[in-house]
Amino acid sequence: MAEERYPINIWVNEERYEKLKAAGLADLCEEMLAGMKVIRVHADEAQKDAILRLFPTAKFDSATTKSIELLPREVKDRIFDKVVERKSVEILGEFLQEASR
Amino acid sequence: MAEIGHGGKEIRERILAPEEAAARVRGLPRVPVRSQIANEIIDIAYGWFCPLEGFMGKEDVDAVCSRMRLKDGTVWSIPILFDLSKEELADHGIKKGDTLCLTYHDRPMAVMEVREIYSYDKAAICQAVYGTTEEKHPGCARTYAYKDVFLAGPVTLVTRPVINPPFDPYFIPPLEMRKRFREKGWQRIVAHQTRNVPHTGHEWLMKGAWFQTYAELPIEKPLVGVLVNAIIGEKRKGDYIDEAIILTQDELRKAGYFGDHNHMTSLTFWDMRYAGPREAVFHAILRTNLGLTHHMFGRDHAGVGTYYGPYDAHRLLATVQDELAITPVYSMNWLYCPHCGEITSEGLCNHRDEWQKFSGTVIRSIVQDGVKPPRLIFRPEVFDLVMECAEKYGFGSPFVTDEYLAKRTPVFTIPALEA
Repeated sequence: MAEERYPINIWVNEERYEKLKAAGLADLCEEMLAGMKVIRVHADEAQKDAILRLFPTAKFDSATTKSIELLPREVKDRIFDKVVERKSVEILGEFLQEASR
Repeated sequence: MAEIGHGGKEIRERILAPEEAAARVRGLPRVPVRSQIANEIIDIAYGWFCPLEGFMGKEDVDAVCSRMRLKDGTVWSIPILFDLSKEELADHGIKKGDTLCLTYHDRPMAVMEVREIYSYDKAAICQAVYGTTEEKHPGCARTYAYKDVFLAGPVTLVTRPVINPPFDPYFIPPLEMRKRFREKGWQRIVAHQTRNVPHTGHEWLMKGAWFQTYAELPIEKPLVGVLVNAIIGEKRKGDYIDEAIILTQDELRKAGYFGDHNHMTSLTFWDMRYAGPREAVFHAILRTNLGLTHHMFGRDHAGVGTYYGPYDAHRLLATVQDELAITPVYSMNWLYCPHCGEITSEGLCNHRDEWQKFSGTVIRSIVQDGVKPPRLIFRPEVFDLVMECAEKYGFGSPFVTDEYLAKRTPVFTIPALEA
C-alpha cells in the first residue's frame, strides 16, 4: 500500500502564476474551491510531523481536506520559491533540512 | 411593558444609578476579577443570564450538574461560578454576609453580596457538563483552573462598561435588543452563533435559516431577521481577531448580501466552554433573553475534537424544547458544487463526487497567504476588510498573535466612578 501523503496548499495568485509559468510548472496548478488555483507540495508522515513541530501555528486539517494548513506566510513563500528554483514540487525534504538548521 | 426572559422571569438590569455608585462601594473590600468573571458580571447585570442574579450557589451547581436545571427547576446547562483562592479569602477576610467591591483593572466594577462560600468537586462538574474529565478538553481545563473556593450571591454593576471602538455599536443588551426588534417590525428573529469571519458557506447558513424561519409568515413586508451574535471572549493564538469577526459579519449587510431589513450584528461576552450539547442549550438561553425566537444549530454545535456526535446537541435540545422559548432551526452544511456552479446544500445537490466542501482551516490558510478567493467563496468586500483589520487592529495579521494579545485595545473598559 502506498504511503499516505499530505498536501501543503500554496494558493496561487497572478504573480505566483507568472513565476510558475516561467518555470514551466503552470500545468501543476489544480483548481479548488470555485476555481481557486493551488499548487500542492506533498509531505509524507514524518515530514508532516516535522512541519507541525517546526511551525507550531500550522495545523493538520484532519476533518475535511487532510492537508497541512496555516503555515506562516513567509514559510509558504520560501516553499514556493524553492519549487520555482528546483522546478519541481518534490522539494520538501530539502526545505526541511534547511529550515531545521 | 415587562420583558420576560428565560424561565418566565422578568429581565431587569442590575446597574446602580451613577449618583449612588461611589457611596455604595466606599469602604468595601476590593477584590480584583479576571476577564472571564468580568464578562459574566456584565452578562448577569444586563440580563443575558436571566434568571440568574448572581454567581451560583452549591445547590444550583448540584442541580445544573445532575439535572441540567437550577434548583428551582429552570433549565440551565452550565455552572456560572466565581472562584477565589483560600489565600485571597483570608487576605480580604471575606465571610458569608459580606458585601464586596469587585474591581476590574483596578476600577470598581460591581458589588457582590456573599451569600455562600463553598468548595466543589471540579472533576464532577467536568463529567456532568462536558461528559469527560480529560484535561485536554478546553472546558475541563477551564474548570480545573478555577481556584479553591466558590462564592455565591447577587452582583450589581456599579457603572456601565465603556465599549471601545469598533465594538461599541454591537453591544446591544437584551432590553435594548428587544426594543430594536420591535422597531424593525420583525416577528421572528433567528440567531447565528459565530466566532468566525464569514465565508459564503456561513452566509448561506444564515440565508437558509432565514428561509426556514420565515415559513408560513406573509411576505408583503419583512418580518424575519437574522441576528449575528458573535461570541467575544478569551482569544487563542491563530483565532481571527475580534475586530475582523464583528466588522466582517456586519459587512455582509453593508455590502448588500443582506440588508437593514433582515440582518443585524451584535456581540455577547462569553468565554466558550466547548460543551457541545450543553453549550447549545446555554446558547439557546442567552438568545432567548436577547429576544430571539429561533436559533440555528448546525452539526457539532459548540463542540471540540471528537467529544460529541454531530447531532448530540439537537437531541439534547429536543429533551427540553417544551421549556425553551426559542425554536431550534437545524442547518445542513453548505458547499460549492462545480457542476451546479453555485453554493448549495448537502441536502439538495446530488453531485456528491464533485462537491467542494468548505473547510474553515483551508479558508484561513487562503487568507493567511493573502490570496483573494473567488467571490463565490469569500466576498471581496469581506476579504478587503479582513486585510484592513489586519493592518488597523492586528499588527499586520488577521489572526491572533502574541503581539495582539499584549497590545490590543480591550473590548471594554470600566470607567472611573464619579466622586
